[in-house]
Amino acid sequence: MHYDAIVVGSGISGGWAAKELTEKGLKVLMLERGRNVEHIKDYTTTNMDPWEFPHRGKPTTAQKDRNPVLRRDYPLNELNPQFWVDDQDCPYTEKKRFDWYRGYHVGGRSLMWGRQSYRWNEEDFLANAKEGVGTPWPIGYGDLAPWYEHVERHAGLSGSHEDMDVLPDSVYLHAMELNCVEQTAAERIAKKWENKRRIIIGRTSNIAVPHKGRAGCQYRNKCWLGCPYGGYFSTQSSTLPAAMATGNLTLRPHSIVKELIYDKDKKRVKGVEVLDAETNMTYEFTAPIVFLNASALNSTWVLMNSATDVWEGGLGSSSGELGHNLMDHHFRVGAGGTWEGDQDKYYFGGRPTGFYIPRFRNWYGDKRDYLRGFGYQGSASRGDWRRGVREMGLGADFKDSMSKPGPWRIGMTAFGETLPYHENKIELDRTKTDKWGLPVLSFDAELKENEAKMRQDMKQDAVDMLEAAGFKDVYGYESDYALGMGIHEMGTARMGTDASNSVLNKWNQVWDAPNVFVTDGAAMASASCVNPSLTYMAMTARSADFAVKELKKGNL
Amino acid sequence: MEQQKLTRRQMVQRMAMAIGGTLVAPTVLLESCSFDPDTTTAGPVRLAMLDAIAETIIPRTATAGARDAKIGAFIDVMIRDCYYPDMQEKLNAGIKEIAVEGKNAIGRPFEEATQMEREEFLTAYDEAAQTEGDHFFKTLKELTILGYFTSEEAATDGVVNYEPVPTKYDPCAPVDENTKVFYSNI
Repeated sequence: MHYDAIVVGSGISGGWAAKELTEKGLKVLMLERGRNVEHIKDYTTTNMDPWEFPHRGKPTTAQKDRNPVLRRDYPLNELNPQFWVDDQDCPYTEKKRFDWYRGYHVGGRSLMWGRQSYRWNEEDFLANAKEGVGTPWPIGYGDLAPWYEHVERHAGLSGSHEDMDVLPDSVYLHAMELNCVEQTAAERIAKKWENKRRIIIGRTSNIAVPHKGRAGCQYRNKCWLGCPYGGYFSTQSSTLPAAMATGNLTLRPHSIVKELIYDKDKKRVKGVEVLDAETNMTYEFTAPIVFLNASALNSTWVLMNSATDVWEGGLGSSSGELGHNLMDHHFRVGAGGTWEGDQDKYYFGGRPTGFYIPRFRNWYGDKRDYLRGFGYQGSASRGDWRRGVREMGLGADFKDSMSKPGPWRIGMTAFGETLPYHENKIELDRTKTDKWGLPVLSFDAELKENEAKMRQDMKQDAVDMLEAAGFKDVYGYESDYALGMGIHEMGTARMGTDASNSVLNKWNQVWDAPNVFVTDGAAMASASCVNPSLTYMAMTARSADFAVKELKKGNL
Repeated sequence: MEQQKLTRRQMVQRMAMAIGGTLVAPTVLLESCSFDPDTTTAGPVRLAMLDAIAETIIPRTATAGARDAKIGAFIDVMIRDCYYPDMQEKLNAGIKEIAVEGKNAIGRPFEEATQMEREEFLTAYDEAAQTEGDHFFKTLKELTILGYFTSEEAATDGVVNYEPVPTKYDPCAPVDENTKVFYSNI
């Protein structure tokens, strides 16, 4: 079968590629390796009451035994196991520990994502060049700004306008609100640090107003089960219906792309070879352009598995950078405390975001003994009955006490930028295969000195701010963090200014096959400290626009 | 056989012995009173014991209690499905210990004792659970609380303000003595 374009993957960036390409008139085939998940209908647990879950959301030992990776953190649970990859079917190799939490189904991780949505700032694109880290970005903030706006208008964001250079504003439909305690803390911290440290409401792709056929957020805070109200951006709620409405989209689930079919004479890819995950039959689909949006590390897997007769390391490996410069956001360090006031105040509703403290280190003239910076996500809340296990008490008084809002407390976690290191890499491990007989990825990456130094500030600055804001019993914490836990995999097929040091050019085209576009996390040349998905959306829309123009010019 | 009511001090002393990490004391007592409830496999004896323990923590008042919410059965399922054998054994031994020691202290089967008798008896365990991080009673209390406060009975009786579709967010809602803890998901 022949199409005008093939999109590999249906998550956040794949959905955007499909929408943009179909709306520009192309007949598009979107391939998804997992099953279909239909909007609303297939959110099977979203309207269940807590008592309908026999284990109240906790994972069973059977689940734990089957999923040695997922069990390392929250992804293993009873509420939405249908959205996480089965570790037995999809193993990988860890030369060093890497936590890879995947979602193989239509919509990918757009269904379970954290939804925090931030634009990068100008400096984020300049820092590599200024500091001699990694490779210079071939694009700047100005290149992406109109595309940020383009995707924001369709995806729908909530947030507040703050006019800060460090965190450029997006287009917002409305803002969610800080609660009483967060507001007070925000005022005190802004005053103490002269507005250089600020608590603002977390910018999220949740919207509580009707938008493009979506009813909007009902403040259930059950986003990761799939939202029947279309309260947050996902492929299903936003890009897929738009792409389908054009009549130009064919969606094919259960389609594992084994490799891109490379034509060495034309130096172009002519299509993809697909393994049907249900039948194990192999199919070939052709198109003049291919968008790789299989999620960062799987897009690189596809490249590594393609054109190996020309380049042993696969398509895009001629630079020596394919598979390298693996990044995540490092976190699980921060602080918490309690709050004595506002006992007569509470909140109502499950707000699907917390507060955000934009980066302030190595900014505003500050200079540290490490590069880059970090931001914080957190929230203040009143305890519920779970506190009862740490309190003495049995009987009627205890029951009564636990049925009331507990003391106020606050918690915040820093998310830090990880630098791109050439030696942090993934490779194909051909000695191990997945359920379909395909080689798996092998991980060899770790945090280094820059991140370790940054983590000291990530903890101490949090403690300082909470103490300054008036919290009591303030404690700093640092938990085990392994790369991947942030679920922000970035790099391994980076963009750059030159074919000798990067896999992709400034339009996300593979240097060695310009009709292949990689516009997911793989393309990132650095990580910033803000959540990355909004940037993938903007990058994808920009590339799709370019691809269609080039196609019409006959350049592809 | 010792049948008279123990003073609270005597009970705490006895419990301190039993909880001290060895099962010697309960075994001795078990032999002396030939009481051997099967508290380790699912069945009426075990469920009655688990219900009684849970009800002691969360009793029926004007609103449903743990027994009404079938928390015994919930704890049984959780122990069966969510814990590995070492922890299962520890929890089951603890449940058995409460059955044996409770009967001995109170003078009647634990599950037939009054709420006050059971509370008085389990207070020593509750204290021990606060000081020993991995005490079995801490897990039983945690499971009781989790199961009860997320139960349909607790939601229906207004023990908690369970609002599955809040529709709005109020960042600064007032609190009075009747305000219940709000939640919309687990």
